[in-house]
Amino acid sequence: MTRGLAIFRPLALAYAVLMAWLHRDEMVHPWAAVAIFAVLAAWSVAATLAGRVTGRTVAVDLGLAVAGVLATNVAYPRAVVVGGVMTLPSIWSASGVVAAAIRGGERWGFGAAVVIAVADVLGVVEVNAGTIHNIVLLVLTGSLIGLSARLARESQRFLEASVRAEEAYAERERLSRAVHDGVLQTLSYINRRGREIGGDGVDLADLAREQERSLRALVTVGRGIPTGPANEDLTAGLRALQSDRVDVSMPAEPVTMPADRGAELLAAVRAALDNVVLHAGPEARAWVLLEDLGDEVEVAIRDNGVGMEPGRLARAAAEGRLGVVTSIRGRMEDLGGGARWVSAPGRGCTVSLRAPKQRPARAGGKDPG
Amino acid sequence: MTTLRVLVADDHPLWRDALAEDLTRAGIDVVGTAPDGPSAVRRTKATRPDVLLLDLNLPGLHGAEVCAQIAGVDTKVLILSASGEEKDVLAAMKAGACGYLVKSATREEIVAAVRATAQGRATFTPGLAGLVLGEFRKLAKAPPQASGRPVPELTDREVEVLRLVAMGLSSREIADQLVISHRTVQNHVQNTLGKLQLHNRVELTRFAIERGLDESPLA
Repeated sequence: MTRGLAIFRPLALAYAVLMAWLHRDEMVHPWAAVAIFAVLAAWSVAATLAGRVTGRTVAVDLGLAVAGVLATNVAYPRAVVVGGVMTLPSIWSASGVVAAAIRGGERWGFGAAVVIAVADVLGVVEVNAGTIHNIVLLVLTGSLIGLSARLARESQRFLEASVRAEEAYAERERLSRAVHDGVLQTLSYINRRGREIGGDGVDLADLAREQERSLRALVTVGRGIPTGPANEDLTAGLRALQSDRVDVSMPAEPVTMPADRGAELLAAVRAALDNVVLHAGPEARAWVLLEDLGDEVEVAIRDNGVGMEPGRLARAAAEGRLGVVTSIRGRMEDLGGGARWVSAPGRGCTVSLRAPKQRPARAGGKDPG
Repeated sequence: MTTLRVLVADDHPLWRDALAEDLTRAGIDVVGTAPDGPSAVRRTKATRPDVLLLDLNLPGLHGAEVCAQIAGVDTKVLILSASGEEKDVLAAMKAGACGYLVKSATREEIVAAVRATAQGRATFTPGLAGLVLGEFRKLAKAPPQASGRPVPELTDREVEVLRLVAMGLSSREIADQLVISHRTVQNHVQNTLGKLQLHNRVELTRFAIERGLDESPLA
């Protein structure tokens, strides 16, 4: 766009000089015209060499155009000016308007056109049909070029962003395919064979399994469809909790909840899993099941640890030491849901968390479960 | 008992050979191997094994497509795949596979699952149970179809069993907890899979009929 401006400036200047030359006999002070044209020529060259359109070059363009319009009154006698002779810079005035439009869109273009129009009206004083015609053309030019400059810039930006995103996605797909076909298969092979060999092989197998899981989590993360910033996809949040000792089962489709509520629910799940590590014993494993019940979600966390006697929770509550259980139940009740524990000695423990997806009309409603 | 005949399809040579060796050692007849999807389909049709032990991600054809293409053959399919690919597994199960096992399973688990598959018993992982459960919940939520045909539903007991499978209980533990027989637990699991596959077939047929009617030649 600046290239077009670089062509327009000298052509417009040549036209202005030609017009002035045809009217040279009517001038009273030809030196004013010569001086203006010399400055305009020098600036046209300088601006073209600079190559970039900035706020400052736009100001100079406009300033020179205004000076040129006002100098028309010096070069020609009053009668000639009012008679409708062209201003000294004539169409060169448009280069400031075009530059402004390129720099700042339709608003700058319109503003610059108004500046030139005001100079025309003040300089010529008696407005004639030609002046109005020129002003309308100038305002239209500034606004339309500004609009198209802005649209072009926006679509360019959009195109670049989408090309970048596409490249990143393709690269990610390529990497995850490579990792999937090679590294992960080999790791699971080491895991299996190591376990069969026994002894030190088991340590090797554990290492391989751990690496396989974390690598898989890495290459599968973020492949879902974004659900918008206001909602949180619980499946993504729970998938991150998967580990050597934690299995997560869930539906194929995203299960979404307002982000703040989803974060609370995930925090409760994490607390329940922390509890497994603390109380279920070193060998315990845990399973998490997420279910989408329509208006509600349910997350069950089961472990196969040492479990507890019936009534232990109630006794602990009576003794005023409940810690994690209170915090989990508190979170769920804040969400308008509830938490339920089922356990027996030697048979692990299952925590069921249930909450409505949307904030209930009246907070504090308790789930009977 | 006659010897089980198994075809092993996996594109990873290391894996394929180790699997074939494990199965042979357990007294199972490995009738062949296949390194890609199309050859898995061809060899299954040619050798008609009892069980096709199928890697989910074969070059050429995806697991679900392999299952669909051998639907007419009397071979049962056991999917073997890395963990974390349950969504793709679900597609393969809908297309007719009978069970799913993760690749990190032990040799004994794999052999046991192959034998179970040959008898038509479904093998579920907790992850797969969670997906199947989710699938039925989604079907139940969907608006009733114009044809008025009922969507498949699980019985309360089936839901209960599936939830326990999804929470990592073995079928013996489930049997203990619900005070039913081990065999009944397996039947429930199998029924859920049967309903899902039936629904899938009905949907495919309906789709085909609709397209056929839509494209009837204009006079």
